[in-house]
Amino acid sequence: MMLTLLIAGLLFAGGAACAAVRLVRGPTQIDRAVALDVMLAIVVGVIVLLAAVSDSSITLVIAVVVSLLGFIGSAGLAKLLPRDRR
Amino acid sequence: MSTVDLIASVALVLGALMSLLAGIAVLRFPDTMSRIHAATKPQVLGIMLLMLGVGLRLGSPAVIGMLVLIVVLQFVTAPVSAHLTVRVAYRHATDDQDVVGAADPAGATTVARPPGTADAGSADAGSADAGSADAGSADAGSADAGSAGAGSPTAGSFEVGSVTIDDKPAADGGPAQMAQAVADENARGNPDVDPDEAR
Repeated sequence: MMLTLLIAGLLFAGGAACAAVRLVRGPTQIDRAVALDVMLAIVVGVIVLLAAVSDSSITLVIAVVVSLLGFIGSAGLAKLLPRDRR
Repeated sequence: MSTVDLIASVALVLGALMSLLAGIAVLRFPDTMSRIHAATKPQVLGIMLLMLGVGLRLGSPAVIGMLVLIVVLQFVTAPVSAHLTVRVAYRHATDDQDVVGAADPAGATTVARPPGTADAGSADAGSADAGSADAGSADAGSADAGSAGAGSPTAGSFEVGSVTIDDKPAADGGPAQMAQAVADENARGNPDVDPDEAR
């Protein structure tokens, strides 16, 4: 299970690093919102991975809350993003 | 490590691989639409694989229920949030330039619209469209079809409806209300797409 933690953690870290580059670089605000959405999905994945590795189900509640917060944040950004005149 | 643990490990690594692929796609894909398309993949398939791994690893019924709750929430909310984001991205894209492409149905209909009906469609008052639909004459029906085709993908089915208006004036209650709804949606939903593209 430690090998699983290592491999999956490296994959999650790579995905989060790519999303962070897009978050910094992104030409429009919508690209940044999408990158944040991906990073939030990765956060849910890391929480679930830690729950699987450490054999404890307590952190799954945090995964529920974070996945709901991801939806609320994405919908709120889609509603409230200002129109950027390029 | 037993067989169940092995399958759980494979599922966890596949879910993590899905989010790595989403990160690479968000970094590498050329425009916003394809990035949004790729960003939805770890939210559905990746979460499902991860939950499968955790469910195989910790097998108690309370944990399974919570995992099913997370998966159902993701299945409900991920398409909705992606749709909201895509709608905002589409409006921003069609605001000043046509980055979506020539196959865009709204832009094609707006370009191909004849000039006589163009200003009627761009003025787009809901009461004016409803009045011409109630009159039931042939050119009023065609003007409504042109203005309805400006913003909605249901233009083909609506043209069939306007033809039935011309044949049977008794049956124009349903299509006239549909024209009113489409015109209201155009006037309320994207207020400045039509005047920007009519200029």
